[in-house]
Amino acid sequence: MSAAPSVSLRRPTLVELLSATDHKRIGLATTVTALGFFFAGGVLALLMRTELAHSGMQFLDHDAYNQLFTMHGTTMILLFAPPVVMGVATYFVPLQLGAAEIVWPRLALLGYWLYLGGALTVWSGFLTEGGAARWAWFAFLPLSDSASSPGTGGDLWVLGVALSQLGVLLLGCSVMATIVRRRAPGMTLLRMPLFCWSMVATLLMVLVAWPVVLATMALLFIDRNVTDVFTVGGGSITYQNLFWFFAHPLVYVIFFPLVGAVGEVIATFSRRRFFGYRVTVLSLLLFAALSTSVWAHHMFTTQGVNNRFFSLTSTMIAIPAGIEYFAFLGTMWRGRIVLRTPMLFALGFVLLFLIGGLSGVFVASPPLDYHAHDSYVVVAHFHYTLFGGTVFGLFAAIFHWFPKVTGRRLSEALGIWQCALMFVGALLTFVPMFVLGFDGMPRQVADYPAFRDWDGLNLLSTIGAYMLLVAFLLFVVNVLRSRRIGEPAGPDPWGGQTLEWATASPPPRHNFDRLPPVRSYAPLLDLREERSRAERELGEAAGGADARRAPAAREEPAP
Amino acid sequence: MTRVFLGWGALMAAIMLVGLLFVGLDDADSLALFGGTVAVMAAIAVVLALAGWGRALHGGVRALPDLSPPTVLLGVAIVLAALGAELGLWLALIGGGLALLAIGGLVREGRAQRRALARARAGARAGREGNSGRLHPAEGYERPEFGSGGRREEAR
Ligand code: HEM
Ligand SMILES: [Cu+2]
Repeated sequence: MSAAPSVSLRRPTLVELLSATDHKRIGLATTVTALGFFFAGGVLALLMRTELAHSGMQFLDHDAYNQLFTMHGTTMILLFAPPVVMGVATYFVPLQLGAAEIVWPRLALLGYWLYLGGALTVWSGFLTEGGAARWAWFAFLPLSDSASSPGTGGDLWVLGVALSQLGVLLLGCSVMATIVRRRAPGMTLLRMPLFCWSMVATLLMVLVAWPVVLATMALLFIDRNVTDVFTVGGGSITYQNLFWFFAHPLVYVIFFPLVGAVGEVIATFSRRRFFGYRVTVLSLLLFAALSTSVWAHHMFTTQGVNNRFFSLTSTMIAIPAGIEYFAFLGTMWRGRIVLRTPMLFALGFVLLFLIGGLSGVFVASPPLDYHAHDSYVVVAHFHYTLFGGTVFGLFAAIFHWFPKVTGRRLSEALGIWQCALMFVGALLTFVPMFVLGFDGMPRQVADYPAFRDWDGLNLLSTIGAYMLLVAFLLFVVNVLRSRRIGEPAGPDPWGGQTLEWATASPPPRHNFDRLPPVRSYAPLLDLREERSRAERELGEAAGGADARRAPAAREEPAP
Repeated sequence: MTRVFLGWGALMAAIMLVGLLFVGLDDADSLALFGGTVAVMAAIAVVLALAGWGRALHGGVRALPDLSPPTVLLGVAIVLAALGAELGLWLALIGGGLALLAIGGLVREGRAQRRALARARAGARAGREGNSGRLHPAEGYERPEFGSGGRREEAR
C-alpha cells in the first residue's frame, strides 16, 4: 500500500495557491483571512478607545465614531468569528474523522472566495463618498432604510454581509456533509471527537439560521433600493425577528466549536479521557436547540414579542451550559494537568466565559434588561462572552493545532506572555465598562460629559485595549519566529488523543497513509494505554530473565 | 446521521409546542421561524433516508481534485454580479459573463474527473495495488486505501 507522493517541495504557483481544493489549504486560507479581519476590527476598536480615553472630542467626529462602531461590530462578529471557526473546522474535521478529503471541495473553495469578496465589499464602504454604514451591526429599521441612511456605503454593507455569510454557509455545508459521509471505518457517531460534535451542533444552527440572514439582507436591499418591504405594518419588528433569529445563534456558532476545541485541549493536557462525553454531546445538541429558540430576548423592550416564552428559554440555557462546565471541571479533576500554552488559554476561556455567562443570566431577565439595555453593561457583557470566550478559546485551539498545521512549534515563553497580557488586558478593558454601564454611561456615543467623572475608568479601559494589541503582536512575532527557527514538532507533540495526531505534520495531501483502529473517541489514547499494558504484561512474563529487551522492565533492578 | 437531524428537528418542534400550548407563543413571525426550522430538519432527514446518504461511505475509488480555477472564477463572478446591483448593470453583465465562463470550466473539470475515475476503477479491477497515486493534477487522486481499522498491525 503506497501513498501518492503528494508533498511537493517546490513553492506553489499563484494559481495553485488561489484555487487549491485541498481542505487544508482552504481551511488555512479562511483562518488566516479571518485573523486579518480580526486585526482590522481591532484597529477600529483602538480608534474608538483612543477617542473615548478622555471626555471631549479629540480626533473623531460623531459620524466617524458611528461608522467605527458599526464596522468594528460587523467585522468582528460577521467577518472574523464565524469564518474563523469554519476555517478551523474545514482544516480539522476531516483529519479528526480520518477522512482523506472534504466532501464538495469546490463548494468549500467557492465559500472562501465569496467570504473574502463579501468582506472586502463591506469594507469598501469606507472608500465611498458618504463613508461606511453607520447603523450598528444589527442594522435595525427604520435607521437602515434609505430615508434615514442613504448612500452607497450602506448598500455595500448589505451586499457584503450577504455574500460573506453565503460563503460561511457553503463552507458549513461542506463540513457537515463530510461529517455525514466521510467518517473512517470504526468512527461511529459516538466515537467522533468532541470538536466534531460541537461542529454538528454548530452546523445545525447554521443550516437554519444562515438562509434567514441571506433572505433578510436581500429584503433589506430591496427595501432600500426598490420598494418598501419592512416599512409596512409591523415590518420593523419582523426585521428584528428575522435578524435576531440569525444573530443569536450566531453567537453560539462562534462559541460551540471553541467549547469542542477547548474540551479536547483540556482532556489532552489533563492526560485523561474527556469526562462525561455522552452527556456533553447531548447537552450540546440541546444547547443548540435552545439557542435557536431565544432570539427575541434581544427584543424585550420592543413590546412586540412574547417576553415570557423567550425569557424562559433564555434561562434554560443555563442547564446545558452548566453541564459543559462540569464536564470541563470533571476532566481536570484528578487529571495530571500539564500547563502548556494551549491549556493556559483554555483556562482563560473557562474563567472569562464564566463572567460573561453569569452576566448574561442577568441580562436575560426582562426587568434587569430594561435597566441595562443600551448601556455599557451590555457592551461589557458581550465582550466577555465574545472576547473572553471566543478569542481565548480560539488561541487555545491555535496553540494546540499550530504544530500540526506547520510542522513547527510555537515558543512557549512568548505564548505565556501573550496569554498573561491578554488576560490582564481583557479584564482591564472590559471590567471598567461594567462599572460605567451601571453608572449609566450609554453605549454608541463618541463622548461623555466631563462632570460625570467617567474619565478615569475610560482611560483604564483604553490602556487595556492597547495591552490587547501588544498581546496580538506578540502572537504575530511568535508565528514568524516559529517559521524561521521553530523546533520541528513531529506528528504528535502533545500526546494527542484524536486521529489528526496520527499523521505527519503537516499532513500529506490525502491526510493519512494508514489509520489506527478507532474504538473510542480517543483512539490514540487507547493505543497508548494498550501499549503500556502490553509492555507491562511482557515485563511480567519475561520475569526479569530478559530484562534488557523488555522496555517496561528497564527500570527494575537487575536480579 | 439521519437520526441526528430528525432528533434535533423534534426537539425544536417540542420547544415550539411548549411555547404554543403553555406560554401563549402565538405571533406569526415566531411560529413561522420555528416551523421553518422543523421543516428544514425534516427535509434533510427525508433526503438522507431516501437517497441512502445517512451513513458514512467507506472504500471505493474516489476522485480528489487538486485545483479548480473555474471555482475561483465563479466566486469572483458572483461577487461582481452582486456588486452590479449597486454599481450598475454593466458590472452585473460582466459578472454574468464570467459566471458562464466559469460554469463551462466546471463542466470540463467534471468530465475530466469522470474519465479519470473510470480509468482508475478499471485499473483497480485489473488488480493493481490499492493506490495508483496521482492522476492528472486537474483530475484527482484515487482514494488511498485505509486499514480495516480493527487489525492489530495497523496500530502504529
Ligand atoms: C480587541 C479588543 C476589543 C475592544 C477594545 C473592543 C471595544 C469596543 C468598543 C469601544 C465598542 C463600542 C461600544 C459603543 O460605543 O457602543 C465595541 C462594540 C462592539 N464590539 Fe468590540 N472590542 C473588542 C473586541 C471585540 C470582539 C473580539 C468582538 C466579537 C467577536 C467584538 C464585538 C463587538 C460588537 C458586536 C460591538 C457592538 C457594535 C455596535 O454597537 O454596532 N468586539 N467594542
Ligand atoms: Cu441573544
